[in-house]
Amino acid sequence: MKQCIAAFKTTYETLNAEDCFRDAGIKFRPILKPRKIGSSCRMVLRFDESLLPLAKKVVAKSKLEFAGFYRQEGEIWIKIEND
Amino acid sequence: MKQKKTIYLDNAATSEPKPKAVLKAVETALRKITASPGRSGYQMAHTADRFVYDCRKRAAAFFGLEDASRLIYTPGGTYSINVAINGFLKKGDHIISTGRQHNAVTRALDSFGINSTELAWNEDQPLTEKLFQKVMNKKTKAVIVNHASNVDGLLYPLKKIGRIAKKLKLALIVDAAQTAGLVKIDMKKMNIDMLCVTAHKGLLGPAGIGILALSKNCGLKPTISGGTGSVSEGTKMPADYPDRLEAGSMNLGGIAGLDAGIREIQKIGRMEILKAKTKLTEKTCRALSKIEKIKIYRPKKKENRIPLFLFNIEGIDPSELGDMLDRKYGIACRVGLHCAPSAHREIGTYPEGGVRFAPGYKTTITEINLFVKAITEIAEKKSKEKR
Ligand SMILES: Cc1ncc(COP(=O)(O)O)c(C=O)c1O
Repeated sequence: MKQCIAAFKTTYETLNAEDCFRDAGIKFRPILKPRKIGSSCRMVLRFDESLLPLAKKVVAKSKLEFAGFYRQEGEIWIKIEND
Repeated sequence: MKQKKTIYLDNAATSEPKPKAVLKAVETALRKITASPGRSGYQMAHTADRFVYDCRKRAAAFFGLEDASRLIYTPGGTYSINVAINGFLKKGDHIISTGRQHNAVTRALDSFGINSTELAWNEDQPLTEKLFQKVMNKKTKAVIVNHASNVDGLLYPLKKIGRIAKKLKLALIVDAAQTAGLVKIDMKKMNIDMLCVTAHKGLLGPAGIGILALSKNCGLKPTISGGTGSVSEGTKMPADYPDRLEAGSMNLGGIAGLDAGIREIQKIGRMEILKAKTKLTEKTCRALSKIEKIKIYRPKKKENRIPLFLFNIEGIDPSELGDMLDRKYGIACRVGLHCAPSAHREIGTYPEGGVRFAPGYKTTITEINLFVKAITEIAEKKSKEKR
């Protein structure tokens, strides 16, 4: 299963997102932000790609200060624009 | 009549004693939450992140702030006031202030080059929009209010001020040093844009930690710059809150103490604390007012005051009186100008100042009786000397 990442703008917002993900039943792991990801916060939330649609819904509904979703393609993380 | 334990009546300066829960929370934080929040990815750091986040949420809820990311931790009330004034206003702007303001406000306005006019209000007159319009000019951007005076306890009608400020399109900055934890503060309902809070007074927490809470639409330029753990590659402070205004490593012990103070107040009941202190203050006032040559300074109406007051005994220098209380009776009261010369000017006690009575949540009736006895003795001795 491919991995995805949700990145937020601040530590505060990442923790806020953790709560929202948890409430929505999204299994995730907070990890250090891979260097190439363009977010200002140093932590990101990693989860299975199968949970991406739900994660998108949660982000939209919770009005989080969002920096972007990324999908792992081999060694690199590609920003998910709007798929 | 020397007491073994000091009778501490200086709770407007800082609360004493600190609740056991506060001491324990500070110690636990320093022992167990030992990594720096916002800086690293290992689990210990994440625990610290989570801890600060939870405290921030609880504090925001306590003050009626919807978006907890706009609750900034600062090193205290003075710092919060400085960051609010400097971050919101620019040199040459004008602000409406209150006569009862603390030097934290007076000096910050002066040092940042902000012009101010004091609102000419006393409790005998209605607080109207007109009063604000009289002191407004084209450069007026905000109103700054000392929610309650640390000198005589005058409590400003904040809800009303909030309504007027909103109508006049002025931002409202509130110095809540004397009221946070004692008087209900709801930023949303009171239309407060910048709330400046200190932990070590009514919130029963440690000194050196405070809060600056910002309303949704209030943007501030940073006063202090430095590391935040975010957008580290840039030379500018991050755009997003709270990082924008929180440079440098965080005071975890302080945050823990502040949080524990809030929870302790919720446990005891804010109203219970207010009622108990009010009862003691009223009793003391009644007893002292029977003493000849005593002058008590405090607002006339109950709804316009918090439980503390200022007093003087005619013919006795306040410093001398404070010294006698301390040395002979083991009673600690603050005397002088209380870092608020303009408040003393308004009250009519400048430049000598006065003696302040400020009980705490643990002050007892026995202590109050001993205080009244001490003042009675001092006043009687003085009048005998004169004869
Ligand atoms: C009315 C008022 N404003 C501001 C302050 C400053 O607070 P801090 O001591 O936390 O800087 C105080 C207390 O000293 C105060 O009484």
